[in-house]
This record gives sequence, structure tokens and C-alpha cells, in this order.
Amino acid sequence: MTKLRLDNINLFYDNDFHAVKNVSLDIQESEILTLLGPSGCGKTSILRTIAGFNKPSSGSIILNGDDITELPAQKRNMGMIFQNYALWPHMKIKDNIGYGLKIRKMPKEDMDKKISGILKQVKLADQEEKFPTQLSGGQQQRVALARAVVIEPTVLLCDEPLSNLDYKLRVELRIEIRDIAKKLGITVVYVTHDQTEALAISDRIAVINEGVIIQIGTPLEIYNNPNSLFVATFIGENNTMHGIVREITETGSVIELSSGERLNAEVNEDLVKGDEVVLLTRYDSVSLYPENTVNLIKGQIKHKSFMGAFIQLEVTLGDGTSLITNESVNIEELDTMHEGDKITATIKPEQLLVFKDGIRVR
Amino acid sequence: MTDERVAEKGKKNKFNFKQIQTNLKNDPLSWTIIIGISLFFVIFLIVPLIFVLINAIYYQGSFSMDAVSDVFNSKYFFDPSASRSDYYFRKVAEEDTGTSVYFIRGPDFGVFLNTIVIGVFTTIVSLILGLFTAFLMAKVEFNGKTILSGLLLIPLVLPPFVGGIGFFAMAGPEGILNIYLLERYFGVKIILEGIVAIVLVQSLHYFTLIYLNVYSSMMNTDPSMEESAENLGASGKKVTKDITLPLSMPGIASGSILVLILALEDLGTPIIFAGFGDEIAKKTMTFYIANNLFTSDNSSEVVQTSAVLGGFLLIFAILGFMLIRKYVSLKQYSMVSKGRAGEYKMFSTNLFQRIIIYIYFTLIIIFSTLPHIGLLLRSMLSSGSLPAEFSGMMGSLNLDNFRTIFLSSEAAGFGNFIKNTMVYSLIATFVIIILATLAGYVASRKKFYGQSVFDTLVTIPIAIPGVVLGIGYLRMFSSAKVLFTVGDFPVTLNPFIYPPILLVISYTIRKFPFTVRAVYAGLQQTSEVLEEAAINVGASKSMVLRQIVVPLIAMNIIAGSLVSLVYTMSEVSTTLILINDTKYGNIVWKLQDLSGSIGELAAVGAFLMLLQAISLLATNLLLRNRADAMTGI
Repeated sequence: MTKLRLDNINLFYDNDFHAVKNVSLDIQESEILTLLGPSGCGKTSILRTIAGFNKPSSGSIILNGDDITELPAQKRNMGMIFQNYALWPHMKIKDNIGYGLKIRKMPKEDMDKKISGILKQVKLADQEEKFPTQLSGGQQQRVALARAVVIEPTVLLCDEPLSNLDYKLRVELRIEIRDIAKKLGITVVYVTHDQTEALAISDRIAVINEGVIIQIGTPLEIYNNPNSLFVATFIGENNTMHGIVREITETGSVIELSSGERLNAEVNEDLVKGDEVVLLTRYDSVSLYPENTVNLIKGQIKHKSFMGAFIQLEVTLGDGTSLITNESVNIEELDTMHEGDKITATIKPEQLLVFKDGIRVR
Repeated sequence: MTDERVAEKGKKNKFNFKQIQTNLKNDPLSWTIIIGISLFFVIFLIVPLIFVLINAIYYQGSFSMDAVSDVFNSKYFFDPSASRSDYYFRKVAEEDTGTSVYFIRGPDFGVFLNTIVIGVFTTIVSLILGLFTAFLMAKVEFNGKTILSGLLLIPLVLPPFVGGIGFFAMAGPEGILNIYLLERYFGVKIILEGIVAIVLVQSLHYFTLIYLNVYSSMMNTDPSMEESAENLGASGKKVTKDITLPLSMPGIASGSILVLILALEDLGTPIIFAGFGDEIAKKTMTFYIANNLFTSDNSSEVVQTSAVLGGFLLIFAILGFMLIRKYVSLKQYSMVSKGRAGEYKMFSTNLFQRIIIYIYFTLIIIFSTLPHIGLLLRSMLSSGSLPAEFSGMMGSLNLDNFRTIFLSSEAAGFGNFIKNTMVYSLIATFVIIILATLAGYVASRKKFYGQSVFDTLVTIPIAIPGVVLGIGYLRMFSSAKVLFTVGDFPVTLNPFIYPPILLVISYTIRKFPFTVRAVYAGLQQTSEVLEEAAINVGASKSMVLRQIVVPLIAMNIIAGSLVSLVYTMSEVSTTLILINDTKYGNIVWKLQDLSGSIGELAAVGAFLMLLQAISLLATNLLLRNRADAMTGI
């Protein structure tokens, strides 16, 4: 069931900057939807529009079937977590969390019960008498989470809530946010520029660039099946090669790289001979142990880096293009490879993504 | 702040009537504040000033520039070719005792030019003292800066008039310096008079404002600015000349212009010198205006020449204020990256240089606290003149004057003045706290058409000469009716019937900027996200204001309103112009009257000085030496 619908939202700032362009989005009940994109892409503008802090220049916002476009922010009953926590320094933890309940005129007894319950959930039991400055960054963001969810919001809005925390805490807290949201069945709109975070926390991801939604899908779809060069390069680690279409076959096409090798791809839609295309492969799609004889690429090992679970090799092709491959190898194999060695790599045709004018060729 | 928010902040306001209507509907609280406060300032600040300007060029039914040209055609007002023979240190008499008497008084250029000359020279002298002091304090290594930084604030705490009394007790013809030092050991007397004396008294008071502004400019300058010049091979002197001073320009400029405005509109100093018989002190614009208000005793018609002079003061002040604003906006420039590791580079000193520095500070602190010392001594001397022996003076110090003003049966008179000061100032400060908090909030948090006009409206009173506003009030309200009566109190803006209401309004307007600036500064340092977080959980605008904003900036509100309180207690111009009945007089009004016991006046002045010192000390502790809050720039 659709919980929140954005219908053709446009947002201009007064200097005529068109921050959000024709954004339409359906967010389902209890879904975690992430708005992902580089900084300045408009994702926070969309979130602040949902919260009611920005008034859209056109379009409407529908919550549970009701148009709330004109509803003031304080009447929307949406919880929000801010990047810099935004805890009120003059109030104790319990007063920060209880503030929204007080506004809703909840009796003190129920309020205390609710506060200690939510504090337990965010692992901050018996911290309620402290002031925000007495807590660490991670603890402060847990308080912010508690403050936002304790009011039982219709939608929980998260504005890059983990950006100010270190890596370990980020991983820990994003799991907690997801757990709590799922346990309470809250619908979440989550903003981040961190693709790993987005892949880990989301049910669906909307990738945004220059105020426009480029692609919406599950993390798996977005990762494996990007619809454009922008999404493909923004998500995951890729090798980029340039080439020209030399042949169109029944099942695909043959593309000549600028380094001279000819590669088979399994796509040909809208391609004609002579088209200039961009080829993308994930690092883990390049193999140094050719099992077959198609799509062979000759090169020379430039760098060898031990990464723990795998080694990463940077291979230079004939024209100077770099190709990076992640290989899981054992110690003996590792010792046989040296920087400067000539090697042959291969890419399976089905793992070669082809883009013409930035659009994915199917 | 994310890019989107930056874009939102940086947006320009375009006129869009429909947008205003929507805004008004969406945010009635903010708009009520903006419109209400704007109306208050238009009625009680702008309209009275327009009355003055019109009065200057409109007389008996027609517009004419005659009154303006009359000023420039009269030697009384405008005499650039005045004899300068009096300008120098000149021996004019020899008394029977064999004492040589020297006068230093300066020429008389006429009312208009005297004021300009006083303003310019006060600014120059203050600039030299203030700049040098700031440089020593910020950039040169020596011990005792903590104590000095406290002592240097003393000049700020000086009630009007009594500063003059104190100055006369020390440096007057029969003052302590003349009698116990110069006459006794050197056989001379030095008598300071005229524009030279006024420049001296003003400079020793106002140099502090330049010192504070320049010092804060220098301390806020990123040290890496100077280090990189040094790194490129610039010597210490070159760094000072090419980097330190240019980057302190905003502080130097805003401090200087503030001093110029204050020197031009100063009424307290000329009144005291005039009271002690100095004829040239009577020939200053403010003194002339305050003493030539009405065309006749029974008329409420303002003298047109006073309106013309007032108009000029107003124009100078507003031009100066606009220049300040321009420079303050440049201030950001020098504060590139803060919070970096590293220390401010200091010039090291040798023993000889340190001795020179200590002599300089000893002299400057002695001279700038002369009025204070003199005032305290005077308040503890019962007799009218000084005893012949210094030991005799020290022996006759007592607290009789304080006993008289607080305890004796005569106290009734002073008690009433003290009570009135308290009532007027506290009510005005209370109104200021409420209105300035609201105004500071909308100015810092809302974007609306006319925002910069609103901003100017609530901060410009700092530059508006009190005498001009006073005339405007007389023109505008002298025939106002009594609206209704509450008990014995007639509710009316007519100062001739019941001045306190208009007086409190004038205090509110004139001392508003100090609090609104402190509130604004507090809000700039408080993230707006804290308010959004409250709105997000359902708090209304007024709840956000009461429960989040006010507690967060409480220190700023208190500090700002203490400064406002200090200045309302010592407000001179509108106090003298609007109060015309002893019954309504306050301390300041009483202090101008030199006909009574000078000792008792000095005691009341010392009491007022104590109140101010306590308030400013508290402010200083709260705001930690923030020059802009202290001086209102």
C-alpha cells in the first residue's frame, strides 16, 4: 500500500536554481527508501520538502491518501534525524526525547514509560539524566533516533544521519536503524551520498542527479542492472573502456577497444556499426584465468596490492588504459605474479555493460 | 550546511506580492513581529526625524533654504576665518603669587564648524591612542595584559556630566593637578578650555571604542595570514604594514566612524564646560539645540535654526552609519579559517622597550581615569573648594555626601530621581528585551522582502543623535491629547503633560540596537536545525521561540539587555529635552544642574557609575570581551 506519494514535485530556490525537477515517487508502507546521489544533487531538498521545511514550487505530497502539500511542518507528524544530531543542549536526554510527547500532551507516567522503553531499544538505558554534551557522537545520534521514533511518526526522515560518525559506528548504527524501523514497521526516507550505506540499509534506492530521479529499484537491481552510465559509475567499482561498434550480430555486437582488442557483448539494441560506446565492467567481473577463448585482453601488471581477502591487480592495456581486477588467490599463486609480468585477462560477454550517449544498451 | 541550504541562504529577495501574501498566511507570528516592530520604529523614529528635516526647510507656510543659508552666512555659526591666536599654548596672565597662567583653548570657528572640528580631532586623537593601544595589546609581548585589559575598559563606565565634574576636580583651573602639582612645584597653572578641552575629554573617553574594535579585528585575523607573509620573507615591520593593519581596516574604520558620530552628538561634555563658564563650549551644535528648542517660552514651535543644525547632525550620522555597515560586512574577509593550531605571532621586547610601554600605559590609564578619580574624590569632599594642603584633602575625605543623598531627610529629592531612573530604565529594558528578541529572531531566521531595511531600522538608532530625535518628538507630540487616565496617570505621548511614556519609548528606541545585536549574534552561533528538530516533532512557532530559541540564547539576551540598561540609565539628550518638571526628573536630569552641591551631585554620579560598572562587568563575563556587543557595532 502506498504510504507517501510525491507527485511531480518541482522546487526552485529564489535565485532561480531548479533544485528538484519533476520528481514523482511512491513509497510503500514500512518501506525503507533511500535517496542516493552526489552532494548538491537535490536529495536533501526532496527530504526537506517532505518534512515541510521547503515549500515545493509545484506538485503535491500525498500522505495516506491526504494531500499534505500545504500542511505546516509541525503538523505532519514525521520524525526526522539530522546530520549533526540537533539535540537541544539545554535539555536532558529524557527531555529531548520527551519533547514531542509533551507537545502531544501525553500523561507523565506514560511518557516516562515510553522514554525508558525507547532508550532501552537504542541501548542507552540509564543515560536519561545526562545532557547531550556528556554523550559521544554515536550515543547522541542514538538519542536523535529515539527522539524521532518515539512520537510514532507516520514517516521517519533521515538526513545523512551517519556522516559525522566513524566507519565502524556507521556500520553498526545503520543496522540498528534498519532493525528498529522494521521492528516498529515505520516507513523511512533515508538520504545519503554513501552507496555502501544505501545498498545495506534500503529496500529500494532512488538514484538522483541534478534534481532528477535517474533510477529506482532494489539494491540488487541498481547494482546489477544500472540503467545509465551515471548510475553504473556511481554505484560499485568499475573499469571504464572506450570502443567502437564494428559488427552487429543476431545475439549481440562486436566492439573494438581503443587498445585494439575486439570484445563480444550480448547487446545490440539501437546500435549501428561505427557507434562510439563506453564499456563498463565491475572489478570482480575481470578474470585472469581464461576458461574460454573469447574476449581475451592482453596487458601488463602495473601494481599488485594485497587486500586481505583478495588481491587487486592493476593491468595496463596496449593503449595505456587501466583495468582493475579483484582476484581471490592462494599464497602460491600470489607469489607467481610480479609487477611487469605480461598476462591475459578475460571478461564474460554477459558481464560487459555497454552505454551509448550515457544510456544503457540492452 | 548542505549545498541546498547554502543556495537557500544565499538567495536574493525579489518583490513578489503573492509570495508575501502566502508567507503571511503561512507564518502569521513572524509577520506580526515584522510589521509590528517596523511600525513602532517608523512612528517613533522615522516620522519624528522627518519632522525635523521638514522643520529645517519649511517655515510659515512655505519651503525655503533660507534657514540653511542663514547658518552659513552668520559668523556665530560659521566662521572659518576665526582668529587662531588663541590656538596655541599661551601665557595670558601672571597672578600676585607669581604663578604663570597658561590657557590652551583653541579658536572659535562658530557653532557649526566647532562641532565638526571637535568631531574630527576627537576621532584623530582617539584613533592614534586606540590603534597604538590595540597594537601593543594584540601584537607585542609584555606582562600584565590581563590587568591592563580590565583597566582599559574603565573609560566606558562614565555617566554623563559627572565625568566633566571629575575632570574639573582633577584638571580644572583649581583642580588637583594644578594646585598640588603644577603650581606648587613648577609655579604654573594650565587652564584647558574651548574645543581643545572638549577634544581632550572626549578622546580619553572614546579611544577605548577604537581600541576594542581594532583589538578584536586583530585577534580574529587568521595568524597564517601573517605567517605566510613572513614565510615569503617579509620582516616584522613589513608584515604589520602590509598584512596586519590592512586586515584590521574594518575594525579601524568602524571604530573611528562610531567615535566621530558619538563626538558630534555629545551633549554632556559641552554642557559641563559651559556650566563652568566656558563660552566656546556653548557654541557647539548639540548645546545650541538643547538650549534653543522653542521660539518662545510658551510656544511649542521649534527654533528653525535648531532644526537645521539637527538635520546636519542627522545626515552626518546616517552617512557614517552606512559606512560602518559596509565595513562590518567586509569583516568576514579577514577571518578565513579559525580553529587552526598555532599561536598569534608577537613582537618580543627588550627591557628598554618594555619600560617605554609601561610608561605609555601608566600615562594613558592615569589620564583616561582622571574623571573617575576626580569624581570619587569630589564625592567624598564636603567643602566647595580644595584645601590648600594635599594631606588636608586626604584628611577631609568622608561619606557625608552619600549619607545625604541616601539617608538624610533631604534625600527625598535624590530618592525621587534615583527611583525615576530605575523605573524608566527598567521598563524600557523590559520592552527592549521582548521586542529585540523577537526582532533578532526574525532578522536572523526569516527571509522576507525588505529584510535589509528592517535590519537597518532596528540598528540605526545607535547613530541617530539624541537631540535630533528629541526635537522630532517635541514637533510631533507637543500637542498630543490625553487618551485616557489610569488612576492619577494620564496616558499621553505629550511630554508637556506627562513625559515618562514618551521618555521610555525614546529609551527603548535609542538603546534597542545593543540588545538586538547581541540576540542576532547568539542566533548566528546557534544552528537552525535545533529549531527544525522541534518543529518536526510538532512544536508550534511560538513554542519553538519560547522553549528552544530563548533558552539557547538566554546569555546573549541578558548580556545585550544589560548594555541597553547601562545606556538607558545614562541617556542624556532626550532626557533633557523631554523632562520639564522636577517631579519627573531622573539622575541624569538632576546631574546637569550645577547650582546645587557639587559634592552631592558627584556622589549620585559615583552611584550611577557603580551601577554601570556592575552591569558592564556582568556583560563582560557573559560575552567574554566581545567588542561588538560592548560598543554596539
